[in-house]
Amino acid sequence: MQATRSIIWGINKNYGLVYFNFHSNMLLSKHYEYSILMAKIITRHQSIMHIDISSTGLKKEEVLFIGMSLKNSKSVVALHLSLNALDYYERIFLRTLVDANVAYHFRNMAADPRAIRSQKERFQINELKNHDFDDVNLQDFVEKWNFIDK
Amino acid sequence: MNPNVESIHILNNQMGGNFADTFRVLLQQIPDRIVNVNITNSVSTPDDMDSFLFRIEHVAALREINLSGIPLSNHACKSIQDLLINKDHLKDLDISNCKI
Repeated sequence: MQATRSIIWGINKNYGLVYFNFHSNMLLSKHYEYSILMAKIITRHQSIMHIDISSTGLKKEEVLFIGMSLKNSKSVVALHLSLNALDYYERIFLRTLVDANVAYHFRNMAADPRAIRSQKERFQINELKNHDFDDVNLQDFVEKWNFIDK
Repeated sequence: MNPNVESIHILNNQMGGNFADTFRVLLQQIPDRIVNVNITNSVSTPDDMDSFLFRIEHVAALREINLSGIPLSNHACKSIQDLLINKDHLKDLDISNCKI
């Protein structure tokens, strides 16, 4: 834990860093020491733009606390919090708290920027989004359709 | 090493144990104008890492350090803390997956 303390205190006292990747290390602390410091860094640092603290063993309340500090940040444009203890609905809660926009409507696509590979696929996805299949008559028609003989 | 080199990338190599000499040669040849050092997943001994960090602490031009995948000791982390505090022009620090 002394190693984590050294790094986080170093970032806290740093001026000028733009990109910080701490992915897959440990920020776990019983007394929330590192989450408090991370939130302090996010709100006070003048130049840091990209922070990756994915898979750092943060608890739910710590992720929410760090996420909420984004609103008061002067410089951060990217904050990675994946693979910490926050489930799907808690992520929606955090997005609502910080007024975040959802870039991808299909959540699984966020992981792969090349998920939509062609204009044809884009049309197919847009078609799925138009809720035609909410229509009861259409559902009935599709269920009764004889796919084998046609 | 060419003194005009500004970027060193040595990814996924063995530089510890029997290969420690490789690391020491690299260390002696890091030019003062180096800007970017990337030794991702290049295994080294803790002593070699300490020497490496001590060396790059004295490189004025350094902007980017990538030590991803290299286990870092408490002492190495203290050296990185000193880098962070003393080097305002350091822009990019990647210490992901360093078993910290």
